[in-house]
Amino acid sequence: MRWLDRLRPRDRDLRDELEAHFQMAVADRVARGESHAHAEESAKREFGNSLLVTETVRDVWGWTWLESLWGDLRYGWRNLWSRPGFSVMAILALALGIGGATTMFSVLYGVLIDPFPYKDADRLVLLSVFDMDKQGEEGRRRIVTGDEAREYARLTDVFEGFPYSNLDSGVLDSGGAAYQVRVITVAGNVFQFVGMRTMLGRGILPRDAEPGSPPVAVLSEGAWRRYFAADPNIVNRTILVDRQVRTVIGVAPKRFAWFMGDVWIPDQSGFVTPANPGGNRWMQGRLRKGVQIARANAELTAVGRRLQAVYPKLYPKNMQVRGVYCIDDLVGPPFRFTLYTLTGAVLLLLLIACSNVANMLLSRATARYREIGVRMALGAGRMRIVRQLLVEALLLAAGGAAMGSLFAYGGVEALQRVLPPNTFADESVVELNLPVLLFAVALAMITVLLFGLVPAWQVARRDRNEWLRGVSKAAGDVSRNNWLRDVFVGAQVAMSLVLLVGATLLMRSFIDVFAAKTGVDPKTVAIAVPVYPEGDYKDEGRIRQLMDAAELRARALPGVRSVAQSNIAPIVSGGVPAEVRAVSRGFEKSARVVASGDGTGLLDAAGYRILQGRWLTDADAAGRRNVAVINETLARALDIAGAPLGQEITLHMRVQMRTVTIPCEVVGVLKDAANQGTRLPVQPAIHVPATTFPFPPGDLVVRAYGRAAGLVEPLHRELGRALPNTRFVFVQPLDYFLPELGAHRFVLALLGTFAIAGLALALIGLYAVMSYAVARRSYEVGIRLALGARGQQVVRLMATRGAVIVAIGIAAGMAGSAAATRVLTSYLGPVSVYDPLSYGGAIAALALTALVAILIPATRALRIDPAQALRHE
Amino acid sequence: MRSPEPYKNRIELLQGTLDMLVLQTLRWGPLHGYAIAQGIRSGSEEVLQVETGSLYPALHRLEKKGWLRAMWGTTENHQRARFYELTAKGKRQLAAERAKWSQMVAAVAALMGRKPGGEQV
Repeated sequence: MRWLDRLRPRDRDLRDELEAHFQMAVADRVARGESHAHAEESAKREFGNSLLVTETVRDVWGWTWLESLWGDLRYGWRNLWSRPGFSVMAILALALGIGGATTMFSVLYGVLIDPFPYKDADRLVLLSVFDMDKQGEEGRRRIVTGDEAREYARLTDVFEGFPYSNLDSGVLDSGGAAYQVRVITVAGNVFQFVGMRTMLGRGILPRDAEPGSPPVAVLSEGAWRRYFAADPNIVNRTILVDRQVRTVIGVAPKRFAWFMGDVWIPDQSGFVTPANPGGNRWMQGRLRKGVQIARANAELTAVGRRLQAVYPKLYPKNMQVRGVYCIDDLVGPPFRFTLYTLTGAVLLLLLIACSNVANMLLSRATARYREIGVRMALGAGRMRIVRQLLVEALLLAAGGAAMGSLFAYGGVEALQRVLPPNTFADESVVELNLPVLLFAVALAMITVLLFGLVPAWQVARRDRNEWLRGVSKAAGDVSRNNWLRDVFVGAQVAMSLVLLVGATLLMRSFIDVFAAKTGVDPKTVAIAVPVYPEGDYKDEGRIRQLMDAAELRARALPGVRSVAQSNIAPIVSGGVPAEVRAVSRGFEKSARVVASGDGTGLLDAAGYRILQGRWLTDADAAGRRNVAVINETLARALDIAGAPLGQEITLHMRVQMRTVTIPCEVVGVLKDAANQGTRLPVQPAIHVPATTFPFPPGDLVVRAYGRAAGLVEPLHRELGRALPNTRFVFVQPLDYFLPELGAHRFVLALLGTFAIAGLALALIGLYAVMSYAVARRSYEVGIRLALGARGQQVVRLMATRGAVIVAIGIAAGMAGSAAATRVLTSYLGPVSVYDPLSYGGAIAALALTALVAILIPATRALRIDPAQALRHE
Repeated sequence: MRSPEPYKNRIELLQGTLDMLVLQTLRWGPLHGYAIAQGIRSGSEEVLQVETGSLYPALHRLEKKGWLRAMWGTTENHQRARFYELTAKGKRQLAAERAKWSQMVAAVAALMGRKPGGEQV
């Protein structure tokens, strides 16, 4: 309290003033002839209670408020400290809720709400032509020709600007080495359009796009760092982009990733030139403020109709031209939906946490009626008690808020570390979102205050004398609180069940839809694609020889499980487009397929499963036998699924302007495996021996025992040696091409964490309620034990209540899950929303753990000593 | 826990009058608390005894209202003490209180001087 003295000189003044008064009174008396001792004594008597005087004067100035608040704070702190279990639990629960909610919302904000550093990014759309007779992405064309681009760019009344960008990959020569990079050719106004400020130098300006201007380039921050060692003097240096000398004029800032480019160069061709009749242009426009997307789409489609007359091949009959919001495109509706799901989950978690804390506060309130009664009996004012409780609640809330903020900070940091690459728009940055943190903290504060004040409310309602009459009576009076607490625990059980069911359902769908579809873990497979210099390697036989050598070298690398020459990339791409014909029951059938010439190792490297017959053998390859292995989908498409083996089919392919026909016999049928990514349906596929395929093998498929990422470097090195004069070898693990896999794992991990955290909180709540019930009924248990009740009976008696709560909670949770997971339908694929396995698993997990949470406190009743319990009252 | 209520009741009986007496005592110049108490006591011929428990809260209340100004000074006995002085506002207040007091005395006197029969003393 010393430090408080320093804060208020008035208080010291008052003490001095009173002291002076006292001294003067004594002096007066002594002057009148009294002895000093006597004078002091009577002056003191006359003076009265100096403490009371001080207090009253303080009241005048309003100092007591501060002082008693200090007292309340100390008392509250001692109180929380003396029950560390309770305080830690409550603070942890609050922190978990606050931290989880803030982390998730921060991701949501960074990824969905404000992902792009571009000017008015929420109004940016990508032009797309949709064939309405096809489904979703399959019927979508995003690339337009220069002529089309010019027509669409005229829609200036709905778009503020409608520039184009050409996506291309090219070779960047930094002087020392050459790299395959993404080169984006942009219209001269693109950089101004998106409001880009360069980190170094300047951006591309319209004048750079004028024919005859000096060739320039802008580097991405990543390319600048990777290929030029972050050279601060990069501006005005010359580089080679696809063998053309260009001057670097600037480096883009980190978040700028327009079309994920490494290098941006200005397009000097204008819209259409004889040399560049089409070009593959992507058009991004910004809707004018207030223009509805529907209106813009109508106008786009109108332009599309006019273009349809000129380019009937480019525009399907039943078509629509639309602007697709860029955020939808990059995050994709499924992932956007996933983030919403996660947010729902985290809100549920926050609710569980808050109700948990509310519950703890209620149970503590009950325990404190006795204390409050005593304090009131000793003359404490009602407001004083209410304030005391308020201060304690605030202390708890502050602890929870502080820790929750730490959790949120750590959560966002950790999330950034585990965030799979390519999950979100390259431009998005995930950082702690302060408003959201404040919101979560406020919510937690409100909860704590609300339920921390329940006893205060009871205090206010009750007559002071009631407390004096009998504290034990109060127990009967608070049964309403117990009822409320049971409801809370029930609700927690229900909510955590919803989380568990949701997580299990998504997990199941992931396993079903993805793992089964892919056949092989994409992380363990890498593909190596040699890129030959133009002009050389025309000789097919030479390429085949070199690929054989490359295969041998790859096979010799440690950690390699299988290697195969092929034209496919497992899961990602099924090979070369072709046509297959067959005669089935007298009818000729044909199907568009993806075809590849494969080595025998592909069966293992791609994780294929044989349903009927066999895979290609070395003997097939050596003997150039005309055999083929097809997938289920092709067997169905050719209507030969009944008896595919031995069926004669013909494979038709276009090879350099002529059609090659290869007759072959079906020797095996494979289980369907994804061959155009996991999001699109499986295409009909055919595999023939590499030696009979009209194209040389385009790549090596390498499967590792562990992760394939470690093989990238050695493969690069070995294949470079095996294939002299190749421009470069492109090596990547398959998951590089499958961003959706990483995203899904990430989502599942998060959802699983939420579900487990929710379950843990619900169990804590259950445990607390049970412990409390046992403690309160110790007297009754004492009597029962004294009268000869057996332990088993007592435990059963205690456990029944918990079991009833859990049963009701599970019932409510099932109903809640059924309602909540309905929104997952489109996402779950073949897994039913009412999947009995998911429900069964979640309920079993919940019930089993709940049983433990019930039984531990229940068996504690057995340890009650009857003699002591009876003496207690 | 101290309850302020009993004290408040006592103050309320005295409050208006005590404030006025303090202001009146300070008419001729600044005084410290002890001198004010002594002044009231001797001025009322020992009839009115002001307790410290009433005096100091009253002094601080008047100071807070801006009717008094306080400063530290030294008495003739070289005792450090807090002196109170009327402010301009306090002087106006004293005038107002005095007028009110005269009215009240007259009214109470008129009431008390009358006997139940209605005849004057």
